[in-house]
Amino acid sequence: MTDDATAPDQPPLLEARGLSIRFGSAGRVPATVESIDMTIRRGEIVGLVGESGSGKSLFAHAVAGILDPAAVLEAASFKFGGVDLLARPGDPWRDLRGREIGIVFQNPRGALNPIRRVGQQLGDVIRTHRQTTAMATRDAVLDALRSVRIPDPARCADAYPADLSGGMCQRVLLAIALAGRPALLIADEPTTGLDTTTQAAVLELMIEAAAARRMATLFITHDLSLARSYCQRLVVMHAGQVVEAAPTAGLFDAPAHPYSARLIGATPANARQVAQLQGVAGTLPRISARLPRCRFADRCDRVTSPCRTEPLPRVDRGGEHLVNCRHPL
Amino acid sequence: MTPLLELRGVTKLFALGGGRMLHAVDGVDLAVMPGESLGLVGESGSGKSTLARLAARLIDLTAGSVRFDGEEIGRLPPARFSRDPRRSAIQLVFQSADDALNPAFSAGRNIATGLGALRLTDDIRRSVRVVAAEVGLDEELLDRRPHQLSGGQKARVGIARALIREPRLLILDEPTAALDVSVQAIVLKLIDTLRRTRGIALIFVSHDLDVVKLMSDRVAVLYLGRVAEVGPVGEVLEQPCHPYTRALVAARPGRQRPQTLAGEPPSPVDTVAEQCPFHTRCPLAEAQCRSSRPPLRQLDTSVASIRGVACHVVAGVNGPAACSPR
Amino acid sequence: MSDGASSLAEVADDRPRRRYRGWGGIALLGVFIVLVLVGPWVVPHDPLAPAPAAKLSPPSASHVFGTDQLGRDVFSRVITATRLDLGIAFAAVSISLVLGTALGAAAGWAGGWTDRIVGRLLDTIMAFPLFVLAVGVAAALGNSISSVVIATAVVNLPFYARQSRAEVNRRRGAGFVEAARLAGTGPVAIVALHIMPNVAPPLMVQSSLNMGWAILNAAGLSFIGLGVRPPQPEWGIMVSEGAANIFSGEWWLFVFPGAALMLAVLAFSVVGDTLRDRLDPRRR
Repeated sequence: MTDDATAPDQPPLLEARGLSIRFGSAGRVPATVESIDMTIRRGEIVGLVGESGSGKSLFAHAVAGILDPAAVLEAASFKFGGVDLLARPGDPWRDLRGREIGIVFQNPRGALNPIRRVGQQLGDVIRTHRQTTAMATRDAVLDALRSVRIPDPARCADAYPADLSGGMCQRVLLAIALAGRPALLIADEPTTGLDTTTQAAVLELMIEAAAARRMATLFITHDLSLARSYCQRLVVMHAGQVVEAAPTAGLFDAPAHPYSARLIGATPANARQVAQLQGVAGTLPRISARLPRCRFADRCDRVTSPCRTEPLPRVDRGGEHLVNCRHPL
Repeated sequence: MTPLLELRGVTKLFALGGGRMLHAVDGVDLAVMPGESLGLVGESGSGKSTLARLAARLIDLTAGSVRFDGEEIGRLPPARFSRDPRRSAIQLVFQSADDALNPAFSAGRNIATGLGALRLTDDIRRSVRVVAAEVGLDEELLDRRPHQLSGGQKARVGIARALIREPRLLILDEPTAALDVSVQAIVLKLIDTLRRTRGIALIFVSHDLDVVKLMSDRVAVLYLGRVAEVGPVGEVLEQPCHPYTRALVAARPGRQRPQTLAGEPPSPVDTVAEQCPFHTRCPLAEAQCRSSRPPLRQLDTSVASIRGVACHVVAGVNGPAACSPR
Repeated sequence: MSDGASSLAEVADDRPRRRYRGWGGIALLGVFIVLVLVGPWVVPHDPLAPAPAAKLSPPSASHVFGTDQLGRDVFSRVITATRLDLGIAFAAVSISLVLGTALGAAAGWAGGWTDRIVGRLLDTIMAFPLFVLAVGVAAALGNSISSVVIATAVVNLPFYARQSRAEVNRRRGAGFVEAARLAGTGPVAIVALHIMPNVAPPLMVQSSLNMGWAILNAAGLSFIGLGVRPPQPEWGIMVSEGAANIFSGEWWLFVFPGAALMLAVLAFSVVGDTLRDRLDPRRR
């Protein structure tokens, strides 16, 4: 499903190299998210996969420009649509946030203001981005709701979030995110808590919207099967580090990092019997001064002592398949 | 062989005020054999959680019967049943949400609450240690409070609490829904191991078809408080008959792109009795689907096990039909 | 399934300052408790003994806080009054706490008519200002210390009842409560043994803060003549009697009892705040 914009030689929409996010000063505390490399091309759907504590949401916040003020971001390179986010004076995301970059979060009802009608909230966003008149706004609101396949747009626009189902709320949020005509949509666990059938409908909608607008999507999820169904490339994170990045088929056919392999083995859809399910030993390491260089070291059965002390080597498996591991599979 | 637990016509209505009724569970027939694992699958509004609690006799039935080992227990109010000797035979494991364990009690004390005793005697402490070891909980964790435990550890505490009474039937309500997939794998294996070593029957409630496929022998698919389809899990999930089951299976993420099902789930408030609840979204809907409720009919299958489908079109009124593969 | 990284985002709070304040409050409270226990035996002069010759003398070496209109040692009276003031407050708060919590728990657990009736009862109580209620109780039961205690307890009841009701109601459907029911535990045992340990901490905080308020109330009521009567030393009475001497310049008559009042209330408030910070779920 590639077109010329996603071909490897086109300039990427988002480029992050060596991106770290830290709370506290560099000497005392290790970075929560460390040395992330990520490239997203126009129109591409990239999945960011990880369990809780992997730092994937934090990274998403950084890309969207809504990072906690207490967080310190460092990177060798961090560019969006050609704009150097590190060098830009003032607020680097000032015309990107909510406009060029749209976001959809989990818990859709919680993301909406409970005491305002849905149409008003959507209208606010549309007016901000397009400077429309009141009349035109109403039409634009109904259009937007129609475009996310809400059956009765007029009734929905007049409803409060509490009157709508979770799936409908998520569609509204998608409409809000798309109102600014973003080039990149960040979807952070957008279907957690939704029924399977609703999930399929919402994600199908997102994919269609992305295809229609040549919009790139960063799809963040803990569900590997979901990532497999919708994403062209996957990036796997563990404890704030990227462990592997590969085209989807490549990751599942030949996972190179022990953690990726375990995650795949833990997914019920990939096992025929319970006994075949694989867990991951140990627990997530705590962020403390004594973190091993490879943060998976204490949970890995292939670990050797350089894994803990030496910087992580990056191994290129070809075909854009990269793994950060000293002993890849 | 007598079923260990048999539900017939189980119905639960909640009064919402103003004469409106919420039909959480609407005439469900199910049976669980000793040592068998039955999966209960459904989406929100399917009534699976309410059904789990009815089976565990935590709440009253509005109508229907619940028989345990052939004896009726559905008529007893939960308060009286709690003093019945059969109470310990049916236990429930909850989703590992924040309130499944008492935040003020240690893990060991939480497990002990399963015995319902007011004081922690040495005997009770011993039983707690034994069952904790069985579920893989280190003894030093027993003094910790829930907020000091990981998700997987909390799940183990919940399981230990249910097991300490040596039940014959364990009902699990989405026990791994809140867990990371790697932790879920370990907990699922634990549940499976416990089931086999103790020979207990399971009712495993989940929204996740893949999990149910691994953990159950048979599965019942619920829609709006009614059973849409029931049968051996491999058959039902690989060759689904009921249009809703087909839609559920097709919507699963995985190698292929999930297929969507049109429409919104209908509301369980004041559902019409004489109607198929799925007809508003069903690609096969006919006139009769709007005017009469399809009964759960047994299908001919090559294996002599109970396979039932509640659908006018697929399991027609002209006698049971074999369900052809998709 | 939250991202554990957010726990690092908690800005380092000003722990040292908070700690000093907390310990300061506890130390101050400790002083008062000691005074309650041994006060009457360590005072230099008899608090009730009049000495007309030395009346209205300013603070000096023998009378650290001076003497009042009847020549009684203000210092001894202030110390002795500690027992009465804190005693009344403690009795009132204890009654409020126990009764209010029980009532609220019953309403929160049972719901339905129990909840409605208790709700109306609480509304009725809250409609009465303390002083009106105290006068009413005094009229009905006689003007005595126990009337003051009862009136203060009743007025305070709704705060405990509401908090208790809300907390019990919130946990009624919790998994661990259902598990207790599964185990055959009866409703009273569930509320008292399983739910209460969770509800108790905020109530403890409430009662500590309440003590300060109750002390003020006891003083206020005796100020207007209800409850404690002269010649019993009590901070409110002493302030009331001393107020008459503001313009004649005998400041020590109301400043010292007033300061004692203030410090006692402060001590309880600080301890209450500290308790609340310590019991903050984020830190537990």
